[in-house]
Amino acid sequence: MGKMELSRRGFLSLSAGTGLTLGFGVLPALGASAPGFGPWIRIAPDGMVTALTNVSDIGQGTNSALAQAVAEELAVPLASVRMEMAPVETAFHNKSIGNYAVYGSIGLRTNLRPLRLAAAGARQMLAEAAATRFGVPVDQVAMRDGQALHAASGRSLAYTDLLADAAKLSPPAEPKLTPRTEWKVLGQPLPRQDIPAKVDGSIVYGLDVRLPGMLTAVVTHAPTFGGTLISVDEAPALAVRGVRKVVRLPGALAVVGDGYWPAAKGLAALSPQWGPGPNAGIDSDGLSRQLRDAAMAGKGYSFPGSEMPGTNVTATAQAMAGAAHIVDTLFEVPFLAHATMEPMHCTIQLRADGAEIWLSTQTQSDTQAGVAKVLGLDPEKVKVNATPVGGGFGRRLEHDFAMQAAYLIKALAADGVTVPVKMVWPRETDMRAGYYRPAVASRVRLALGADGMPTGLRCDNANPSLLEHTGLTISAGRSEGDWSVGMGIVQQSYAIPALHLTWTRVDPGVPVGFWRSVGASQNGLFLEMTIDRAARHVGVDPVDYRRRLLTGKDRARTFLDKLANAAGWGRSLPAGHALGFAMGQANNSISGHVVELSVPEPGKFRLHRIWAAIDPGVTANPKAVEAQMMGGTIFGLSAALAGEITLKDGMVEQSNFDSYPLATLAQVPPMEVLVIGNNTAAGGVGEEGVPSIAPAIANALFALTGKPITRLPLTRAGWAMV
Amino acid sequence: MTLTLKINGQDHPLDIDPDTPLLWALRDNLGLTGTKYGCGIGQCGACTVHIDGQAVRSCAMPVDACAGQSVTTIEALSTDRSHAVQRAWIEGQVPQCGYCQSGMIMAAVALLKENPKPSDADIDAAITNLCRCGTYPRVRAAIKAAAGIAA
Repeated sequence: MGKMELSRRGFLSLSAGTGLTLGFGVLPALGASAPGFGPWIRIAPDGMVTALTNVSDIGQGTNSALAQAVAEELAVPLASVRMEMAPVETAFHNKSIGNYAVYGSIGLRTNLRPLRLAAAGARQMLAEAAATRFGVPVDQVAMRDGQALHAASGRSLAYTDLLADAAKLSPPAEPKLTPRTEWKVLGQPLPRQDIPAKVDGSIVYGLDVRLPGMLTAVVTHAPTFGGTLISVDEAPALAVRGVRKVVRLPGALAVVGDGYWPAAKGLAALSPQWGPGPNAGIDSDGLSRQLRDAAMAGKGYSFPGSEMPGTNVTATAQAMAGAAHIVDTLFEVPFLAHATMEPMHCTIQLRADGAEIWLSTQTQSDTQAGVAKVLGLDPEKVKVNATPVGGGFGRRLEHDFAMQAAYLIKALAADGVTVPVKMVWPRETDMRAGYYRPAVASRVRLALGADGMPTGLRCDNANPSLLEHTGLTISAGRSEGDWSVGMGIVQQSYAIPALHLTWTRVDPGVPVGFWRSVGASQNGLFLEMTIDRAARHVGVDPVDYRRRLLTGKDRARTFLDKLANAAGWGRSLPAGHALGFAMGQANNSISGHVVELSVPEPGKFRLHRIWAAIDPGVTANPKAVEAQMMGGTIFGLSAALAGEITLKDGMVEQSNFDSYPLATLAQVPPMEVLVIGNNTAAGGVGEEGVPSIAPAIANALFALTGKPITRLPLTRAGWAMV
Repeated sequence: MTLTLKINGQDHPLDIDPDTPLLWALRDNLGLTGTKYGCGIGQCGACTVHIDGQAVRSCAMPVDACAGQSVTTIEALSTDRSHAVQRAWIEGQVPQCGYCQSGMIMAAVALLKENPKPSDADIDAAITNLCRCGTYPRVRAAIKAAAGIAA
């Protein structure tokens, strides 16, 4: 990492032999313009620029986009910029969320502007240093490719020759950003920096970490949530060649061996006796009834306007009472697993005065704190090595598995083991370990006035609270209700004059958490299916109906028109074909889908084409944005088609990809992605492809059959894709 | 027992149980971590390698069944990412998280070896690897690009 001393001004430092550290440092909160201090960007004597990041590479390409931003604002070649994970220290927390983590599509939108400011400030200081050396006004100095140029005299100086002089200058109070019209690197569909190492097997994910003398632990959990180990005869495992230890953990059992296979074989040889615990009675049918009954009762916590913008309880009640028609639907969706391709794992080693861990994570600071707590250490005594991540989708916002590794190493240390241990969850353990997208039932009522347009929306939700279960510490704070139930319903652009949301806590004891797009993953269906039902009731084309609902909302209306036009909405279709439309807003982005499908026989549909569109405001790299929209769409498609985690006698019925099927290449039809956007603020991209694919399909099926889809996965609604 | 595996052109004598899946021999005994564990039941294809040129899911292939055969892993596809499929993958910016991509690439290479100009249906049938990030459209396009087929 090199030395990162701060000067008295805290802005620049010159570390002999290691180059210059330029920093506006602690990246300020989203929207804040005042620079903080700290070494986020440094220029080495060889001209290489290193920028620190607190965004894990979970596949989204954010760090490559940030490298483009640094190259643009600093005016250096992109190839000379490399991104490096910042140390897990308070100084490097994401200030907009108060911890070191990435979720909620915040990677780019919270870091783009501050990093641009830091790089632009550095460029200005280097330009000033060059102007002094040239003896010309600074406005005659052009900065390009790591060089300061004076065109009139043909002189040039490399940045590396200006570092010492620049270090003596004061930072600009308001660094001047390169206007969008002058971007040459930022905004371009340039290759991602992480990709070459992903085509030859050389990238090292958390599960690939290998340390000298390391052992491997394979874990299984109690079959019920909250179950406990009563007894286990260790002998059959210890008889397996290469098995070293059997370790009892809270609600789990681990076998430690020389590698994965001996440990897994040892674990399979055991016949542990588990106590059922308090949640052994859960089954999905019973839970479904409980959720539906609670949603129909609608007696839960009533969100005030301070928590759900747009709320007006009285006006909503009046709208319902005076409605010409109420579109009234009871929806239900299941638990969903993240099923990252790389299962949860954590490698851990105890040190004389602390511990070190290596893992794939989205939540470095909470992980550090959790491991420290288990080991009785101060957090700063736990060194977190966050590797590239084999898929996150919110599962790696939890650190349950890292804490388990800490319990494991603690037990092993007490048993005289001093070597590092890589703890691995087999797929079956990973699939059954919870933190699922909550199962939800919601009664959604949309009141229509005499003109057929909405006058009020009431949503009565019943579900477990992810805020209650998650290990993620968040700065947003908690209310009595769980704000995630409103995601995708509140703050939409539709002209719906009054809103009332309620939430009834129904908690069967299954851990639930953040799943790509969170509450919008279900509310996208609930709202967009409801809108299509309303349009159909009044006999208006669903896209025209939305156009009316978006009157005066230029950005959303433009988005709708562009998506509808791309898909040829309104064109004549082959017999038996229909289009379905859905859109939504979150994270300062607008996204949506159109699908074309047909129903070759009852209960079977064929997906012919998907159009996906996003307006993320600023587009740092359109090719990466396109990838995220494709990926989010397919993630949502897997859930829509057949995704569900169910329980019987307290036990999760799915265990692997044979029982929790993911969409396959053959199932994905041709897809077009439209990337729109010219605003100045960067919106989210990572989650935006998910919410609207299920309702687009549902609305197309509704258009063909007249029967609304009220339940996911589609298999539960009587539909299979062929 | 000791058995000898021929991996990437080199013989490796290994003292491991014969039922050890090839995947774990590669990863744990030989340090070839480019081949990934995803499911352990041959379902996802993250562990795909070539055995005598055929795409095989190494998590479900015991090492004693590989004796005498030639195993190729992602690490040996080229020394410099110059294989046509690797180049197409970079050009098409296919990987997202990348975890499944070693297996995906190995499956694509095996397909193209057997069928240099695959149709969409051929690609559908051959590429059954799972990708949670949803890279499939770019996987399809990159296979066609590597095959010299206009997308």
